Amino acid sequence: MESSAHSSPPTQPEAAFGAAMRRFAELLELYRQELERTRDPQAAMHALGLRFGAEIERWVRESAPTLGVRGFGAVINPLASLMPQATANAARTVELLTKWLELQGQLGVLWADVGRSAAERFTQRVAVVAPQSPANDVRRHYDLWIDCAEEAYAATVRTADYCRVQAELINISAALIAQRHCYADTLAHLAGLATRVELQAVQRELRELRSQLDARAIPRARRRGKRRR
Amino acid sequence: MHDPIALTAELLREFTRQAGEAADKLQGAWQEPTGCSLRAAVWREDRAVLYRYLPLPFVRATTAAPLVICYALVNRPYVLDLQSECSLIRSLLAAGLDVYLIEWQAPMEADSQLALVDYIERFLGGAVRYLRASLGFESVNLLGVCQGGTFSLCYAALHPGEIRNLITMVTPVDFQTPDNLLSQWARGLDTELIRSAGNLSGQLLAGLFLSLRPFRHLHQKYVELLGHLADARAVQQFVRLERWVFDSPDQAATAFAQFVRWFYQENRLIRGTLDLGGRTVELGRIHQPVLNIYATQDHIVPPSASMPLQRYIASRDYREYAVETGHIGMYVSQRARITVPATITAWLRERS
Repeated sequence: MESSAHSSPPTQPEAAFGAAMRRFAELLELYRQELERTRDPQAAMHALGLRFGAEIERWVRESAPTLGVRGFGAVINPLASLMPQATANAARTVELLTKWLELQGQLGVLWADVGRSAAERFTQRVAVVAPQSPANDVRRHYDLWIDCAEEAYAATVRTADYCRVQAELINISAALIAQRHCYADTLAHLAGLATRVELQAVQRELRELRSQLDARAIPRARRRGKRRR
Repeated sequence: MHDPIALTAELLREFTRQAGEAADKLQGAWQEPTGCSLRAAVWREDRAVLYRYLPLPFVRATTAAPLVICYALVNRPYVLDLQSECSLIRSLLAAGLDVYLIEWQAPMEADSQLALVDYIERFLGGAVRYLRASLGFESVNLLGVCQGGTFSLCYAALHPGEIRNLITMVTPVDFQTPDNLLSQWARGLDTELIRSAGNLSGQLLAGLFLSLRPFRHLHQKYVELLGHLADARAVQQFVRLERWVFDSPDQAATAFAQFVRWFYQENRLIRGTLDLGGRTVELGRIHQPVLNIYATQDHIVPPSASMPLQRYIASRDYREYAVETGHIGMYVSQRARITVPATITAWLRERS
């Protein structure tokens, strides 16, 4: 049974909820199939444990696009930067995108580690879970899977490797966005429009003027306060 | 004995029904109100608004100085006023306190240059100065929450005479303790590049917080919800909290880059090297009474990040209060919603 993978992060509660429900439904369906095949709850649970252990890596991998820096990549969509920048600073853009893809590959390897480690933990622990009722069994397996996945994840994301890859991905994504801004400023300048830099200077000036006005307003408020007392 | 296959089929049917019911409720998350207590804006400055919460009827007001709440930039403060039975603000009002909240408004692109000094000196400081001037109090009580607690510490250190009592809640002080995952992730960031990319998306920030414990926060909590569908108030709280979790505001580029660099990467607050507007922030200048509240299972601001506060301040009247819960549990858990407001009001009463 295949679950649908998500290409973008769940940005709303409904999307996150939908993804969680699909995975839980998969677990229930697995359990039902095993029961139908073996007709023995204990054997079914054992088989479920094995199958689930095998599935966990796929589940962890499929969660990856919704998380952390992959989510960042999806949010800023660096590929969208490619078109305009290709004409402006092609070499730099290609260099950044190449590095970005390379780092995504490294992140994928780290995710595979999380999956493998989670599966090992699950397989070790599921053997000692005694069968109860179907409802309890499914839920206990699910909770065990969550525990194993979180433990494996926590162990990996604290490593120097993971921290480095994640930070570099964010840095490259930021560089691509900054390049896009630069390009937009060039176009604005050519069209005789205000650039971001110029607008920011005006904004800064407005702020300073507003602060000066407020500095004069506070003594007035203090005088009013004293009169009230 | 029941047939396990039939039971499992029934379980699947029941799951489908529950999932449909829960999905319907979650769809309304973005229509949920943000806050349940009445309030009025009393002061504004640029991207900050100071609200006064209206006193509850039949509650005798205390004569204590007003309590100003300074919340984090990275989330919205309505989690402090989620619903009537789950509202720190309402509990403080019920104790007769005069409660104010500084609400940061999400920055627009033109606000990308807003810096930490703006948020701390101009906005937080402006609100404190306004209250002192308009109400005639020499000093106010300040409650800083999470990142807002860090801002409050900075402000109290720079202007100790303006803060009568300081309360910090789930507040990071030492940003480089070994169990601080956010800190580990932040070390390799190029803050100048991040600043040059413009305001940081709130959506990314929400994803970042969820990715600290992704399987619990993006999977397990929804399955747990199915078991509580019969409890309408619990579901309502879940839905409102869900909205809040996904509702992180964008961050002004400059302030965000400064926060990452100065606090997470350089740990300037405890090293005494933080400079704001040309003045050094010295925690040792904090002499006023301090109540430091932290959550023992906090995965965003671990206790190890909050607890060192006492070592760096000069206050002789320092108290810690640990709550057996997590970061979000500090706002919504049964335990916190009873003990935290009671602790704050009793502590303030003893010092008013």
